[in-house]
Amino acid sequence: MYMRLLVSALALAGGAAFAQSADPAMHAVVTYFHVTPEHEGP
Amino acid sequence: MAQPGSKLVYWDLARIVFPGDEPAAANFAAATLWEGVPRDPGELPPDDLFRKASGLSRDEYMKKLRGMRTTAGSTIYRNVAMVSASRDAKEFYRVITQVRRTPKRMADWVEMERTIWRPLASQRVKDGLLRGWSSWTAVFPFGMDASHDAIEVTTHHSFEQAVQGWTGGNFAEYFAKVHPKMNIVTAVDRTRETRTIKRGTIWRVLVSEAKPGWNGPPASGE
Repeated sequence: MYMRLLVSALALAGGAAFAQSADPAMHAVVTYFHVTPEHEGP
Repeated sequence: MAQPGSKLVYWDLARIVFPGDEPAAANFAAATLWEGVPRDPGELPPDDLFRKASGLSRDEYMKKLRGMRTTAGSTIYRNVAMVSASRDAKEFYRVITQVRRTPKRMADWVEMERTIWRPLASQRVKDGLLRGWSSWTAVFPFGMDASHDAIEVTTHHSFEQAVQGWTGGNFAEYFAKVHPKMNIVTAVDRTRETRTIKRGTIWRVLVSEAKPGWNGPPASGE
C-alpha cells in the first residue's frame, strides 16, 4: 500500500514546466523513512 | 516553489537490505533526480495534481502517508559524473558508498571520478556487468558535523552482482582495456588518498519511474 501510494509521486511533482535554470546541474534528493511493519509489504 | 528550469526526471523507492548491527532509523528511501535545482520538499504540488494522480486530496494523501511512515532524514546532492542505467521496470540493487573527501584533494577526487572511474563504469555497463554508476557531492547537510560529503553510487542487475562489487571479477583486465597507459595500483592508491569511505549500504529498489523520453543527463556529468 505504501508503495502504491508513492508511485504517483513522479506524476505529482513532474507536472509543471519551467524556464531556464541558473544551475543546470543534475541534483538528487534522498529522503529516508521508517515505514511501520504493517505497511512494509512483502 | 519549484526553481525556474528544474525538472523532476526520475523517482524510485528502495528498501534497505542489510541495516547493520545498530537499529536502523530508516528502512525505506525515496530518491528523486532533478535537472536543475529541486523543488523545496516542504512545498507540495497543487491539490488537483494529487487528485489526478491518486484520487485523494492533498490533505487526504498526506494524512495517509503520515499514518504509514515517519521521515528519518533527507539529503541533497549535486552530480559529479554519471553513467546512465538502462531503463527497465525490474527490481534492482543500489549500493551507496558515503565518503568524506580529503581536504585540499577535492578537485583531485572529482577529476578521478570523471576521468578514471566513469569510463570504467561505462564499459562495465555496456557489457552488462553493472547497471549504472554515479558520483555526487553533498549540498546539504555539509560541514565537519555531517556524516559524509560525497557519495559514490552503483546499481546492479542482481544481488549477486552487488555483493561481488563493481570492481569484482576480472576488473584488472577492464582497467587495462580502458586505461592501457595507466597503472591500476597507482590509480587505486590515488583514489584512496582523495577520500575516506565512511559507510556503505545496499538497497533493493522496488519501483522506479522516469520521465518519458529521459535517458540520463546531457553529457552525463562530463
